[in-house]
Amino acid sequence: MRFASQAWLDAVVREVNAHADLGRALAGLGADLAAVVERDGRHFPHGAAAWGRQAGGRIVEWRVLPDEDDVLELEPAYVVRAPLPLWKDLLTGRADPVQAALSGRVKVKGDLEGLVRRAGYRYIVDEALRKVPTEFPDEVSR
Amino acid sequence: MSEKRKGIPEVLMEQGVAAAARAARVVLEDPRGQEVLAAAVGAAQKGKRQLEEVQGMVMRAAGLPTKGDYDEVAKSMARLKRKLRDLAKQVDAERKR
Repeated sequence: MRFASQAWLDAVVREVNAHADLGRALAGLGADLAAVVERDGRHFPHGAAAWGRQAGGRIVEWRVLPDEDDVLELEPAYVVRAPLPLWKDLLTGRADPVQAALSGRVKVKGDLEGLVRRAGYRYIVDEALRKVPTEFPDEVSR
Repeated sequence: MSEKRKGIPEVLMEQGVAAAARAARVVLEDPRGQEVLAAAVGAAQKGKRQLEEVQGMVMRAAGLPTKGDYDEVAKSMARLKRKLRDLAKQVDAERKR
């Protein structure tokens, strides 16, 4: 499934929502989050963005945004921005999200403290991603 | 094309970031370290917010637009862009009828 497509996001959210520890991981966090792939002039000339909202310990609403600027209107509690190569490193486990955020390579808007406190729950996303075959655009166009 | 030679501030910044990342890796391996790191991040963010508030007050007093004003404009532009997109979709749908 192509990274950042609606089908890919649906599959990832389905797997994340199926995890027994998700409620504990989400407790006390802000209501919504947007993940943005920065414009790169090649694979994402207009950028890409996905948004999700949590309630009652699971992700209840999610969608790929047609325009990256929609994030400005939604004003989610968290906005995480990174270029494609870094997203790829994060999603394949080659980069650590907390280190990337602290070094400024990933730009995080919102309560970073809350996210750092939950860094131990990273396995939920890792396990979900292992179950979803992900095709990155730089691999497809080669 | 040769790569631009890095100045001392850039080198220091890179080394600082690398050292901070190494320290963060060590700290994050220990749950207590994670707690300490989270508290430090929280304090830094709070300090940044306070600084931005003071900056905003000074800018407002000087009659200049603040970061918040720019953010509001950006939000309005995004809303307009989305409404235009919705309208364009409706027009397309009407044409196809």
